[in-house]
This record gives sequence, structure tokens and C-alpha cells, in this order.
Amino acid sequence: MNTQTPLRLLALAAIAGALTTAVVAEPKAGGTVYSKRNGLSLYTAPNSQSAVAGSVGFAEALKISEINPSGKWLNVTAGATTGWVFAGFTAEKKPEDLTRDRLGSVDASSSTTAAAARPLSPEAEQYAARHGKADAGKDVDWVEAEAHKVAPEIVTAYVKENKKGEYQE
Amino acid sequence: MKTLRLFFSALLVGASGTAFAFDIGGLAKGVGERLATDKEKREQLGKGVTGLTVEEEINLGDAVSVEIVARYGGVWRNVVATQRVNLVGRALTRYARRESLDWRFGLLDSDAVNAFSAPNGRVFITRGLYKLLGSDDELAGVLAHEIAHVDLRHAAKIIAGKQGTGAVAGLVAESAGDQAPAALSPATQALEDGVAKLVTGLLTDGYGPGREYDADETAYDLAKVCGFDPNGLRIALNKVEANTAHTKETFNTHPKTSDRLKKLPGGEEKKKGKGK
Repeated sequence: MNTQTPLRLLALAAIAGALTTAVVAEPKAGGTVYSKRNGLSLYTAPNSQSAVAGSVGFAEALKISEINPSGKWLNVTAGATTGWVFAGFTAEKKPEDLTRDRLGSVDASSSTTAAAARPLSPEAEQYAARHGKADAGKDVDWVEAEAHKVAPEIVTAYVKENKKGEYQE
Repeated sequence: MKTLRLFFSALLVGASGTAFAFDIGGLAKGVGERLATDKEKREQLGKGVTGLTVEEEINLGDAVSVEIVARYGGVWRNVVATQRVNLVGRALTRYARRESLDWRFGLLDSDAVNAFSAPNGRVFITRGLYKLLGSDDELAGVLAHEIAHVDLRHAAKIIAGKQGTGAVAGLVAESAGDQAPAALSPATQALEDGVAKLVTGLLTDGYGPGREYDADETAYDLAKVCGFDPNGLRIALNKVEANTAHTKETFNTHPKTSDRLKKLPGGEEKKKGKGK
């Protein structure tokens, strides 16, 4: 099977080009960024303690009218909604449909939704057994179980308590 | 100073969005022909341009995680440390491009100084590296580097390139008691080939300096936006460099730590006292 066809390589080159963009937006007033979350809150002031002016959907375009001095909050407009959004929740380029990232266990575009613990797939368990690595498979399941105990609410509390992300001062 | 190699390897990953050279999704039958209509293009994008279904990616990521764990001493079942890496790691992934992945962070019971990431967002750090690190800022720097490999889908190079292609059969057959590849179904064989290619490609060839530097830069940005000291990775790398005499593994496919430190963003800022 020759998998290295010119078309495949072209497709890969295009993909590689699309992958070199920054994780977070480097916004400029007058520019546009995109929401990385579904139900992303826009606030009435550049901090997460202010009132919520509205919310926007995943990959929604946000027109920037102002950037606060720290550069971490953007005043944006999406349709009829205007408000401040934490820059870390925006992307320079429109995010692709991440439905396939959600792996069936959670609508993870909302960080407040609890994901179900997901043990190894049956195919991976069989893989581990075929290779005499069933113990490693059990170890992966242990990590999964322990990680699952760190609920999204606990992560949010950590972020808040330690003044990270949108809770930075 | 002797040559020091990079340890944060960062396995595979983010398989979605990459075009896999092994034919799990049938993509190899001719991309142009298969993308003849807009509808087909949308459907293909829905599969992440990989030709993989969600289930296939899960299987691949899970099996690769098994390989990582098996090759690095099993999981270090330290509950407190595991909770900590999950807290810090998932604080970071709130702002990652692939935030919606089921990110999981675990520790490997190995003295080696290394870290890996697998498809589906499973990230592993060795006990040896974990114990070198002090503050959450340093831990965040290391984890952010692995997250960056996933976010930037660096597995594409390994999956799509020639890396690892010659070692598939050897890896498949390496374990005593393995079934002969011929006895496997096509889907199972595809999984075997995919895992072997990813693992072998990474361990022998790595991502290459360019992608490692990209991951460092992205890690810097991610740590910064999350509110961690973006120089945490720099501090961690300095510790790695200072402790390599105790390291069992050195990946000669990675850039020198000194070169990474030179290329890391924020160096000049640090000198001017503006590092944070």
C-alpha cells in the first residue's frame, strides 16, 4: 500500500500550515477572534467578578473594539451582545469542529460538565493482553480513575484560589 | 559541556487532524477523489482530516498509553502527586486549543527524566522528572510543553511520515506470547501498525528540533495566559540540565537543552526583570 501519494502530502502540508498558529489569540483592536468555548460569558467589565452581559457559542466570531491594559481582556461584540471576554478563551483562527474531541463522555466545551471516567477501550485492553501488558492497562485505568476524582469544579476552584486564568488580578 | 539532549519528548498525540499513513479510515485510497464534493469535504473534516473515527482514535490513544506505561516502569500510584498534576495540567488545558479533550495526567514509576503525551490527551510525566521540579510554575511549564504537542498535533509527522515504518513488524512481534500478525483481523492489525509506528517513530526519530521549539514557544504562551510564570519551563530545563548525570535516558533526537534555553521566549524579558 503506497500511502505517500502527492495528494496525501499536499493535504498534510496544508494541515501542518494550519497547526502553527498560536494557542491563544494575539488580539488587536478592530480585529476578530473566535470563541473557543460554548456558552462563553461576556462580562460588563474586564474581570470575572463583574456581571455577565451575555454569552456566545463555540467558534463564534468576536469583533474587538478595545483591549484592557493587561492585554488579557478584550471588549468584543458578537451580534447584539457586547462585553468583555478573557483572551485565553479566544483563538486567532476559527476553531474547527471539535465534536470528535469530545469522545462521547462529555460536552467538554463547557468546563462545568462532569466527564465520566473512561476505562481503556475493549480494543486497547485486548491490545494490552496480546502484548503481555495487561498490568500497564490496569495502571492506565488507575490514572483515569484518579484523574476523574479531580472534578471540573475542583479545577475551577484551584484556578480561582490561585488567581489563574480569568481570575488573574 | 557535554552534549545534553532533551528529555521532554512528547509522544504522539492529538491524532485528530492528522492524516494517518496507515489505512485505518481508508484515507489512503486517494484524498482527491474522496473529497470530490463539499459534502464529502465536510464529512472528512468531521473526522478530523485523519480518516479516523472517534472510536479508532480512542483505541489508538489507549493502546499508546499502555505502551508508554509499560515502557516506563508502570504508573507511580502516588495519589497526592497524581491529583496535583491533574490540577495543574487541567488548569492549563482550560485555555488549550483542544480544551474539549478528556485531558488526563499521570505519573510513571521511572527514574528517567521524561514526559509524554498520547492521543486523546493523556499526558505522562516520570517520577524522576516530577521530583526534579519544585513549584507549580515549573510543573506547569513541563506539562504545557506536552499539552502543546497535543494542541499542535505533532503526531502528524510521525503518523504521516516515514518515521517508524521499518520497525513496525519488530515491535509487533517483540513481546513473548504475541499473536502472529497474520492471525489478526484487518482492523486489529491496523491498530497494531498504528501504535507501533507512533511509539517507534517517537522513540527513534522524535519530532525534530523545529517541533520541539514550537512546543516550547506554545508552552510559554499557554503558561502565561493561564497565569503561571512563563519562565517555569526555563527553570525546569535548567534543573534537567544540571541533573543529567542522574538520567538514565538521553534522546539524541532532541535539541540540546542549552539550545532550547536559548530559543525559549522570555529570555531577554527575564534579564530585564520582566519575566512574568
